Amino acid sequence: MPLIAEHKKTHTKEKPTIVAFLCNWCSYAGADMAGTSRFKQPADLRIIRVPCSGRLDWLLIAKTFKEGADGVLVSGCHPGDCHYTEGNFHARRKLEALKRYLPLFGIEEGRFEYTWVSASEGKRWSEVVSGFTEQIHELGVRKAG
Amino acid sequence: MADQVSAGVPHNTPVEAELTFLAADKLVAWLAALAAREGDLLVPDRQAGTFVPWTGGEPDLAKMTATSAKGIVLPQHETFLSYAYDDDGKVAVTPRVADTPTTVFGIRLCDARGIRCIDQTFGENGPSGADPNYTVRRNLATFVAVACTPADVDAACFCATFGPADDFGVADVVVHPVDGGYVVRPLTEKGLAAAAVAPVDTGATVPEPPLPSQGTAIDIEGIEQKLLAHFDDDELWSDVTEHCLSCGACSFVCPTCYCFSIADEARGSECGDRLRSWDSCGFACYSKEASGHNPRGRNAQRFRNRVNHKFAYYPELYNLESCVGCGRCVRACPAAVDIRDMVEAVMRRPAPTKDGAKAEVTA
Amino acid sequence: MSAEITESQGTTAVKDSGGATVAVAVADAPVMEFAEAVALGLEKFGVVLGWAPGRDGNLAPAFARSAEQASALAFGPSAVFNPARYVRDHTPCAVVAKPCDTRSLVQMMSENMLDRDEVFVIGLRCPGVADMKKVVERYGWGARVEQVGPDWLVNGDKADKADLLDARCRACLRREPVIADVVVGEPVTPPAEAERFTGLPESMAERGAFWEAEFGKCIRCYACRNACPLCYCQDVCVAQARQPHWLTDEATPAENWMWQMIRMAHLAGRCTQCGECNRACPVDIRLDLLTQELGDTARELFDYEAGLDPGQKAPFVTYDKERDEWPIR
Repeated sequence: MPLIAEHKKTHTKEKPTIVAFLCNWCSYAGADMAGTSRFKQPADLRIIRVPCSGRLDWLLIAKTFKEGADGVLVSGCHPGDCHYTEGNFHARRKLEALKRYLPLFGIEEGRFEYTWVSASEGKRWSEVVSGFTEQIHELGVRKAG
Repeated sequence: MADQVSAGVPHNTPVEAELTFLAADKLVAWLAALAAREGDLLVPDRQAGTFVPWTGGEPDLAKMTATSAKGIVLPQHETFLSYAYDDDGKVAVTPRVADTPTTVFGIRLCDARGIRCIDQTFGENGPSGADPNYTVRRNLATFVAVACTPADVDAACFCATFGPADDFGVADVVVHPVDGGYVVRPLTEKGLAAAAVAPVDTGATVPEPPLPSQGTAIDIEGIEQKLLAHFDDDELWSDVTEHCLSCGACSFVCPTCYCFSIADEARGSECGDRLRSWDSCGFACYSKEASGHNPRGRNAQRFRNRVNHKFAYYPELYNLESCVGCGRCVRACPAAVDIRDMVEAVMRRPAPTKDGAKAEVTA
Repeated sequence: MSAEITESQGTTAVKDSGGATVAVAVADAPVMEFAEAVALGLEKFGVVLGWAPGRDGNLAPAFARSAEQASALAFGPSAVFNPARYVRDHTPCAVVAKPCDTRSLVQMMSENMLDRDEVFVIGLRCPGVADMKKVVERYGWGARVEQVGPDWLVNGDKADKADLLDARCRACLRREPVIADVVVGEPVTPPAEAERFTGLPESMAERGAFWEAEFGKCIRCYACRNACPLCYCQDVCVAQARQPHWLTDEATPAENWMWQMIRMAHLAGRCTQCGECNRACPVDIRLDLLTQELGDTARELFDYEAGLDPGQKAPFVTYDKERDEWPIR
């Protein structure tokens, strides 16, 4: 993944690579709102926009880790409010299962999380980002492999 | 002694050298001396099923590794050129070749014979001339083979089918286990260099090493003609291959299989690599064409091709079977396919009758 | 683990989620001798998938199309192959199936890969099979394993059955087929506890190193995939696709991990832990630890076990709005 490869070239041990997959309709808008509202949030986290959390193949998340990401966050619409009605219902099951698979391989709990942030929850988004970034900083940069 | 010079791979000059004796407790010292030379020293790791860098201690020289030594000269994947935009916006292509000398200590004689098979195709006399990447690795590799004792041979081995016990293939040195140590037999210039750093006991009388042990031969008298005669015998081929899963396990563990696939991999938006990786004629899509037509869409056709390549086409081209009877395919196969079953089925199949009618299946 | 299994110990009809019986209840299936069952299967569909002695006397997959070939079919500790893998290319057919194999058949039915009426299931009561890799390690290639009375013999001598029993059988409580047209064999008492596959390091750092070594062995032969009864894609697998291009053909630990993630993702909620992938691997990668995880997750998250009910939908093709509430950030 060019994004991560580039990021890893310019960032050092102190700066973990954190990637967030945000659904276009709720979370991305929420993040946007956090920005325009000037809520403080760390800049470590890099956002990738997807149409819906249900679009996420868990392989996208696996590949993100494989390419060297230290933390991955997924955020979508609250269940029941999905722009595509049921995308996040499917996503929820897959992502919860993935949370259990990753530690099997030594990817510590806490490196992958998913959450729901609506378009109007700008403040909540900045809190989520701050909290997750801090968590990843604590877990540290993953060892190669 | 069989001819060790591999066709068209002009670096393994054979030598006539004296045998020496290395005491068993000096083996590790020899390895240390080899490791001190430029490059890598690899030894067998049965857990990993392959050859790994030596990290000290006694090497495990019993039996063969699950995969063969061909990965030294034809790795599972190899980037052979890289491309990138240069500052003028033009594409610069850089060939990539290996540059690390590698000593592999503890290959078997079947590995050494297997590499000789691959030399035919990838060497100077091969259909495309010398393959540059293969040739470089081949030149940089020193093969120290360990002769098999009876304990190293099992019922999957059938190497006696293809040649005598003292056929050392392209080994640079052969190490024969004997009482109290090893008899060291250099066979090439590279072998002499490797043997030169061995702390051999110059005063000892060198015992006559026993002939290496071999696996029981199967009968392949006339197999080449028989295979060609039975090419259209669909019933024969369907019957014996029905349980094959079309995976690549047999091809990949085989010391003589060398088919590869080529792929370009972008490593970003501005650069990438062209690499080759092992391919298997067992895969269903192996022969699939861009049009969608697949001339070997059925398992029976693919396995016929595999057996014919090893026992008919290669002998026709190079006077050499592309099989060394190591039995790795037999041990690796998850579906209990045994190439010997197929060869024997062909051997005992009555010749097709003159009017083209199919012969009866006998057994 | 024992609690969930009790209901399918061969006494209940296999029903779909609507309550309709979609398969012959094993309890209703007639019990008969092996030879009689095979003859019945041969008569019905003309081909019986099972096992017959191979070159070294151990059983190998076999396809019997005549009375003579059918008479060679047998069952024993070396019947380690899952014949369900071959069923999809041979329907309609009869198949001799161990309990684990019957789970594969049921899973295929639940995915519409197999119609109930195109397979005649000869369900075996099974005491477990041998770990043939262990047999080879201990006794050498070609050592013949057979069952005589209650004992397992290797090369004619009584062997330690408990020691040679395959780990996947020790992890299984099923001794009765899950689905069957006819049942063969004496009832077998299941063990009280199912064993777990062990060997996964406790610490995260050690796990990373462990899998780096395991996946370092992988040569991407795809034996795991090709041996799986539920990997229908085979060669057109997404792992070998250019679009999408998840991974390259380079067999590095990272790429090989990605390959197994694809397998886990595509088998999630479907894998029946038949253990064939683990057995097929020529370099003995611990795939059993992965399939165990797939089973654990399906059970813990969704109270679901694959391959028991042909009418049941796999957990990842559906959802439950009320149930699926897990804590989030």
